[in-house]
Amino acid sequence: MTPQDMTIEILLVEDNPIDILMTREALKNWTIKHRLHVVEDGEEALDFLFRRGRHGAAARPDLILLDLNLPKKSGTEVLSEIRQDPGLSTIALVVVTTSDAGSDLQVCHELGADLCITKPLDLEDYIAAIGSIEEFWFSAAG
Amino acid sequence: MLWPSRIAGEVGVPPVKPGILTIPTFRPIPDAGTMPFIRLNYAGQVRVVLQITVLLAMASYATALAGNVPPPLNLNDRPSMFDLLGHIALYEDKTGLEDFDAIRHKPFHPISAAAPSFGFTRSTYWIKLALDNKTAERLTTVLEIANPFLDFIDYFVTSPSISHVERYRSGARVPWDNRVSQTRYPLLYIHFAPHEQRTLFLRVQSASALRVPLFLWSEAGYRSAERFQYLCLGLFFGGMLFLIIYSIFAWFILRQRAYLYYILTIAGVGACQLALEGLVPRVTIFSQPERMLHLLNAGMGLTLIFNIVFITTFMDARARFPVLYRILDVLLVISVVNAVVLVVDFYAGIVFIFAYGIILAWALAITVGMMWFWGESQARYLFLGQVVLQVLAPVHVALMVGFIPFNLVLAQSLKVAYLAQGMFFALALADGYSIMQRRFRTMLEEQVAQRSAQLVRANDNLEQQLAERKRAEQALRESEERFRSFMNNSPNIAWMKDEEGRYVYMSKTYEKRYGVRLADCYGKTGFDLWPRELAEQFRKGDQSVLSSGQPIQMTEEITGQDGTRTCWWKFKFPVVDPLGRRYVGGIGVDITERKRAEEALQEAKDNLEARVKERTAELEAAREAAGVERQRLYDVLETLPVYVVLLTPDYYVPFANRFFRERFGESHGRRCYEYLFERSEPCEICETYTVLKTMAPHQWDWTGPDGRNYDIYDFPFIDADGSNLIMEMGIDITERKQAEDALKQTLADLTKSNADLEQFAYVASHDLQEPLRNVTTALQILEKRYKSRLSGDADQLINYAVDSARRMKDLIADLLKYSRLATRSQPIEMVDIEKVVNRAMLNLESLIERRGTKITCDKMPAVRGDSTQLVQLFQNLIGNAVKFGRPESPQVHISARRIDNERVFSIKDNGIGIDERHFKRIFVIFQQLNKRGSFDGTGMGLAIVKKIVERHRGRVWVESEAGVGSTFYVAIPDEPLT
Repeated sequence: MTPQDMTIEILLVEDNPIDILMTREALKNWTIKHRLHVVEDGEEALDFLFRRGRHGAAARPDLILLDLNLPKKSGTEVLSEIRQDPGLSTIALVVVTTSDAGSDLQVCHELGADLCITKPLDLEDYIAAIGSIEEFWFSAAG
Repeated sequence: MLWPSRIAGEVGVPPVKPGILTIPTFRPIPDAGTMPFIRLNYAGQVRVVLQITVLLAMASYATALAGNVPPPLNLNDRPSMFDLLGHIALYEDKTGLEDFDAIRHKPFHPISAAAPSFGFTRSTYWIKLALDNKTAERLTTVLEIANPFLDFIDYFVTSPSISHVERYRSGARVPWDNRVSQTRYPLLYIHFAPHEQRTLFLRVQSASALRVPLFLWSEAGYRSAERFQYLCLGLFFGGMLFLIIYSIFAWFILRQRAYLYYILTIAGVGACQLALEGLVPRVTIFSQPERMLHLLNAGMGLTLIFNIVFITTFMDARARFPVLYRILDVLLVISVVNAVVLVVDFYAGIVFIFAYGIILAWALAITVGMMWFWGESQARYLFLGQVVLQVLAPVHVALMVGFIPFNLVLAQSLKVAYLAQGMFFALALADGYSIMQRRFRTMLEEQVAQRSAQLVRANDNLEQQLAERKRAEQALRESEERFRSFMNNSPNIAWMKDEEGRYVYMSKTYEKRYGVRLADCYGKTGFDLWPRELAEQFRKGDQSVLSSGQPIQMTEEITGQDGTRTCWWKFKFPVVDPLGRRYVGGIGVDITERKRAEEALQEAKDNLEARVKERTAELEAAREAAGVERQRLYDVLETLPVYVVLLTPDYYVPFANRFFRERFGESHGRRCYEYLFERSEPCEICETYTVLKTMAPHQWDWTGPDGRNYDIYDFPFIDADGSNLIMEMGIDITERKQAEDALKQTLADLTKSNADLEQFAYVASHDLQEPLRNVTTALQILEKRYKSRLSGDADQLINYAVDSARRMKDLIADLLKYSRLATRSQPIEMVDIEKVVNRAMLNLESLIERRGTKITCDKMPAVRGDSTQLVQLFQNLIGNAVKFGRPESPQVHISARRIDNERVFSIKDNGIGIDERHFKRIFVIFQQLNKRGSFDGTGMGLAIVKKIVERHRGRVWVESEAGVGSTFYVAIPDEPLT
């Protein structure tokens, strides 16, 4: 399958609607075909990933954009659960967090996030970061 | 069924007659019939049962033999005695009224006893004997009934060839002269013609025990038996008499009561024997059976009692054998009772004797044996006597009962026993006598030995005393000699005068000093030897001693003939000799030298005193001055606004200044813990007294009993006399402490409020960020999507909004940073400023590039501090330097140098500079000097710098010239953070 044929499944785990909008906006710059799935809390994210509940027929995401600041289950818990599951460990995982505390970032890296983006960024910066993700990960074959 | 108890070894107990079934009997209460069975004691009951059994046996046997007429006794042999066994038949006449004619044809029942005994019975018994003279000669037999106590005996002798029946009478109740034979035992001579058969009928009855001991003798046999009997009796009674006479003699000689008792004992035995042998009518005037019974009574009583008394007295049991004496006492009491019972009721008495007899016999034997065993050799013969009786009596009984065939010799065995016993007693008496003699002799010998030992001792004593006396005399002589030489060698003079003042003694020294001799002066008075005045003086002294009886002493100066003056210290004292004569003794010591010395001393003393007076005056003056000084010091101490106390190691307070006294009271001689804290023992942990251990000053805080706080200083203090004390000074720091506490509290409050504020700022800014970010993002998205698509100045408005949002974001971010300076700090460490600067410049990379600023940096040292904050500091300062740099060739130079204990960093730029009047303001939060929008920035940068510098206990200031440039200085001390 050529990269052009691929449809990247992206799972966005985010509760802030503005941030969801921001992500959508950022993804508009992507050249690759992609489909964005949004879940608004950690539990639903896990349901999606493990194809439980109403996400029984969920697609396997190629990229997970995980906000750490989630209701119900915390982002770090979701992160660790995802990474503990061998079936999900190969999915690219980008953690987006409002925290710029060094300790949180360190934790995310330790738990297996591939990339950590801190949120208070300009839209432009965010778009650039998301763009770099596409560039870095999904254009590798090219 | 024999009753050996009745026989065994008691002196005086009537001997048992042969072949008698000795069933004890009892006299019935005349009106009550037979005594009720239940009223008897156990022994009596047993006896009654036995009696009944025997009678039943006899009756049954008789019944069995009923119809068997016993064969006639064959008299053709010529023994001395014929054996009647098996030839006796009985008939019981219950009424006692049947006469011979009625009886002779009644059926008689044979018995197997040769000596019928019926016990007590009211019946009259008929005994039938069939005798057959089988010889061809005339024969005379003698029928003897060996029981003198049968009341009535009727003889009926029949012969088949003669129709006439011979009738005879005998018995105890029959008067002596009316009896068929006046013999001790009832006798009947029966004559037989050759080949004649005769049948004898006996009718017997008695109020007492009905025993019929029958003996059939040939005439010759009887004679010899009788002779033998009388010989034995004669020997017996002769022996008894002999013993009595012997005892009487012994009593007269030795005057011992024992012998009297023995006489009584033997008399008792004799009386008993007389009665039992039926000799009473022959020998005495008494012929009635009652008299015989009385004699028997008396005899038995006497024997019972005095046998024991004799033994007790003879062996002196009371003194020598107290335990055995008690036993004998008990036996005596029982015997007395028995004697009384015999008198009261003879037959009960006999029962008593049967029961008690053997016990008594054995008890006596054993008691006497024990005495012998315990060393009383006198007892040996008595013991042997008892033993002989114990041995022979059973023999006698066995003979009488039939275990041994009848033998006249053995029949006397009991009498022999008594005689033997008597002999032993006699031996015992003799023995006793000789033993007594021996004892007496040994006692005498012992006394003699004692006495001679005493004499020897006395003699020794005397000799000892004599030797001592000699020694004492010798010692006295020696002592006198010693004393004499003592006196003569003494350098002091000594003399003695009598009551009249005449000299009786002068020591050698006296003689020498005064040039006189005792031999010349003896008996002379002072007036003879000395000048009148002197002599009078002496006499006065002597008289006062004599009258008062007390010693006196005086000093005298005597001018000698050559004018030399000598001084004497004399003692005169009364002397009394053992005879009571009084003297005046005197001794004198030459104190001339000493006097001289004294005088010299006195002179020196006077000199000294004068000098001392001078000195004292000087000292007084000095003391005055010192006193004033002292007073001053004292006043100082007293007025000090701190307390000063001195404490002794044993907790006393020798000094306390006014402050202390006012605060804590007067000690009044009490110990510190007593009056300060009202304790009875020292405080366990006393800070003050540690000084004594360490001998070093000690400072500490104390809350006194008045509740105030004191700062205490303790010092070891050497008192004037060298003793170790503690000096303590206490400063009242209550107010200060309170202020301190208030301050601490305020500090705590402020810190808290600060923390709260910072926390609040942090939280606020953190929480503000989120919606702000949303606004910014939304606006940005709006801008992106709808740029140039909206009408009018929508773009401008959106721009403006985005800018404002961005600006707010920056402000909040800075505010957050500012607040974090306090809440989030990293640990203090050595931070390489070189790295810090590099990091800051990295963070400002894009800005620097945009501005094209050239930044130079000197070698940077390391300082102690928070690395993150230092990065922020330099970032802000360098950022400002770059931001406010001049547009063309902006330059920034960073350098560092050391001043005292601070590192001073400088960031110099060639920018627009700052007006002097703004130097302070710029460090205040949110202050910007330029028009809004001219320069980026939230206005917090320098405020943050200031805060960081303050946290590092440093300083920040600026030097600047408008249009030239600014130099920001940051001084950080070596020990920045606390």
